[in-house]
Amino acid sequence: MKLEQLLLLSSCAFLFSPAALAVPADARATPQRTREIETAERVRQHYATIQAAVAVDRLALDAEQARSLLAIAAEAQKVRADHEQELAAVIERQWTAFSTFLKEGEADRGFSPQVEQETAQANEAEKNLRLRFFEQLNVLAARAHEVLSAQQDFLIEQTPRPESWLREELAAEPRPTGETKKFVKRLGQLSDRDIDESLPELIGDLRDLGLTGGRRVLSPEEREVVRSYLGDLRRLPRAEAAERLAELKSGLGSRKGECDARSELHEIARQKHGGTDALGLLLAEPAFAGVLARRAGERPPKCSGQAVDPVVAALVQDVRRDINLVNLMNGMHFDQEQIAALLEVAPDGARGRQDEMECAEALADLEGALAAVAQDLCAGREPARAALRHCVDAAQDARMKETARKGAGRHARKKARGQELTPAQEAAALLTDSQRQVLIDYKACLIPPQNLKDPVRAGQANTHEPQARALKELRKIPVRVFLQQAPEIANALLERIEQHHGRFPGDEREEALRKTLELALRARCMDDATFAIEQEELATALAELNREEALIEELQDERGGDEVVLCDKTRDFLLDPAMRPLLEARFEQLENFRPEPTTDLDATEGAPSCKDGKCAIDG
Amino acid sequence: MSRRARQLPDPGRRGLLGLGLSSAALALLGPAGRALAALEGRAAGPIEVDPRFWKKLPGEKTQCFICPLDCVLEAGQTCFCRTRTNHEGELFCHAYSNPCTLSVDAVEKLPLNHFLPGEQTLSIAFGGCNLRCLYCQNWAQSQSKPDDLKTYDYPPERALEAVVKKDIRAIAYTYTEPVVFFEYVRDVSALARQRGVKNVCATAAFIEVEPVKELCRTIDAFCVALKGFSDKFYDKVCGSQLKPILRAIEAIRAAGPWLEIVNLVLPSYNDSQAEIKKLCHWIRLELGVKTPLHFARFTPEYRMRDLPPTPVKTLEQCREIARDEGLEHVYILNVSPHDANQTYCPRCGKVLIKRLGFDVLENQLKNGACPYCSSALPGVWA
Repeated sequence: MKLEQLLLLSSCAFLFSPAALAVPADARATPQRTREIETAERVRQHYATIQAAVAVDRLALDAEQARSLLAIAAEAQKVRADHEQELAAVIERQWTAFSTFLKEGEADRGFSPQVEQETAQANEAEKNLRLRFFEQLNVLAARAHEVLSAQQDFLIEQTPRPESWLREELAAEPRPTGETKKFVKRLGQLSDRDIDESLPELIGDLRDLGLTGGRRVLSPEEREVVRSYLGDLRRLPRAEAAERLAELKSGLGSRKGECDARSELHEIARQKHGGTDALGLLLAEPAFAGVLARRAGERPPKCSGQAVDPVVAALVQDVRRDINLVNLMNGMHFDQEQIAALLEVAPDGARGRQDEMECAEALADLEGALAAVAQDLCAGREPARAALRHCVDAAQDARMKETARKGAGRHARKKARGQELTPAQEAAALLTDSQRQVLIDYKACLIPPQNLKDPVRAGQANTHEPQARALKELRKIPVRVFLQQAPEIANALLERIEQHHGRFPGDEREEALRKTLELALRARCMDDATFAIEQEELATALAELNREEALIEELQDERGGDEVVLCDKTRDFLLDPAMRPLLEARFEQLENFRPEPTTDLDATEGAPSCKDGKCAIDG
Repeated sequence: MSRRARQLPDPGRRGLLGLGLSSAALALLGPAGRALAALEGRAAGPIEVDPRFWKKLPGEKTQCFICPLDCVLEAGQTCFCRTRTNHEGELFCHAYSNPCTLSVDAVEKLPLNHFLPGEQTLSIAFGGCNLRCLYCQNWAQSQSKPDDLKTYDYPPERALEAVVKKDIRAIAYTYTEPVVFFEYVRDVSALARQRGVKNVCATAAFIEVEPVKELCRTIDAFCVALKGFSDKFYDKVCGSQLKPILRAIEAIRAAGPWLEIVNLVLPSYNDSQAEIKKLCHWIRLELGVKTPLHFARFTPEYRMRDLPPTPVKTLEQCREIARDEGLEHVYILNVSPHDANQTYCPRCGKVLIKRLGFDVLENQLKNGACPYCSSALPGVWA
């Protein structure tokens, strides 16, 4: 699991405090994994404390504001505790359901209806709980906004994430990291021609250093700029070149190039899966209430209720990830030869264990660094620059180690140097054309489609059934009602679509509304038989009104289209270290495959048949 | 349409011409009513079974000869297929102009891989079936009477109008068993042929030789589900018989329409190597090595929900057996992506048609031949 994922997981379920729920006996919780999760949780808590302290300092609340905000934060803690209590039960249910579902997936013999149903219900229960929690939190956030002035509101929205804040604090003094130095050293060994030839590789390295706005493929103009920049850099003394790179890096935020589409997608995800604003997130954090209380000279609010064990929660996420990977593996229908070849490319077990250890060390180092800074900030002291520097370097180191662990990071790329293909490209080359297409289109899913209409079963169902259902509902509206309120009805339908797939901006919405109305009219004008024939086409047209999909495509195009998406997904899924044991188990399963023993037909009840001419049915 | 058969007044049917006239009312109008129905292109109510394929027996009994069951019915009784009823000594088919399913599908879904690849079909199905397969994938329709389902008013003319309007090149009689709506298939396919539209039929071929020959006059391609290769399997799992089916398939081959075979592999029931080998051997001997064969993956349905889906490895083993037997075009169905979804040149081994699911990703055929070695590929390509 990526560091970001761990942190993201924690930020969605920022609700973990000491365990009340025991780790299930058969959990895949190796002592190392348990330690990793616990360390990551402490890292998250330190970041949360830093965030809370920075926010409180920035707000410069007067006494009345502080009291009001503390009261609201205390209410939020109550809401959080109640939510957590319910969540604990749901996570336990998820653990049972998901684990059974995973076992069935690994056997690749289909899912039994009951297991499938329990998995869907456990998933839905968590989703509903989350939506309700954010709904309650947002009410409190709205009240908290009323306490703050417009300027404070602005400040709270602008408060950077703790990692960014730490970097910003050091921005005046950019310093090359080990990775930057290594890159410069290597660059110094290249000729201009070498740079020309290995430009894509170098751009990949720059991306890892956070210098390409997250993109691996650049436009011809951008490539030219990079080529020329690297040429100049190569000619500088190594130390100066490293300083230059560090300055450039500190001047850039990460992934700025994709900012607009990404933030819009983020907003859509928030709408779909629940979420809150910066103030809401702070309110939900025990650290925020704690800092507020301490500054006011009061005791932090106490919350009762059953807490969720972060280890259990993370393990449920592990199982969910494994389900996604198994679904993909089942949907790809690898043969033994392919699996053997993929295992050759995938990071091996020994390397994986080494990477894991390195990650754990880096994370522990980060935890120590953050703890010191958080302590200073809570006590109202300014942290030493060396401590801030330690945090930033340790965070970067942890991130790099995590990337390397994924098998497509630094060491893997280094291994590929001098070869023609990166590991992801090498793995993608093992796939057939149709497998490549499936992987490009793949969207992780918990329950894969079981629809004979479309035998491609990897990833989310690609049917337009919800749209077809919506059109059928439209057809049921009485004529008079429809004629009187057609635009409003179309608008309501579009709003439903936007709830799931994001709101269209400005002019695009007008066009989307026009299309929706046109489709609604067409669907209404048909008799049943014509509609039966046309519904797939109409539903497909309705499904195209999907802002989220358009943004994803925009991002994919920006990143370099299908080839890059294929490589990214190959790296993220097929080369995920968690995929290796699954592939090994599948290889063994295929190796030892024996057909089911033949059923004794004489012993079966048998189908009704028409023997001796007695075929007639009365009536 | 070859003829306008006699129709039974059906007071249950919806009004015609938007005038609220029921089929019974039209029948009361006599010739004028029938003319009105014909004008509208709507056939009202059950239709008389083709007189060549049934006979009257003493005491108002009837006997049907469309399928090998030869059902003998007393007045008021219905055949095993649930569509043909004895009305006062006359045999009428209730599956006419009242399909329960209408949809537009890829021809590959039938499955037909050597017939107009990438084209769409207007798929039509009616309630009823003359088999009782325990694993039926469309049991909700096949195991119901046509009149017990939600249906569409869809006389033959309308099917033709739809395909012309949507520029669809073929009509598919599929999902349930076309043998039980024989009269509709016969009439629509005749009309379609007149207008240059192709007809394709997915069937279990549990039909007598004469009726199937009749269908072969207007059907361009058959995909026959040869469900197993033992009498016991057909009897116990499908409530049917193997031999008449083999006779019907041979009749189709002899009559000339394009033919592909699909075998749904049911784990532990019909997947023994010996049975698969026998099936392939029969195909080689009776139909020829160029006949495409599809091994389809079973997914739990109907009364066999406890049986797991067919392991892909089993399907691959079946394919190996078929290829060892010398069959040139052996596919795996309902498993995608898979190499066995593609069409290969049997001579040079190159991939000629790439598929993903029911989509054709790439078709390299040039005038029905391999562009690499020029050998002709069997099938209907244009």
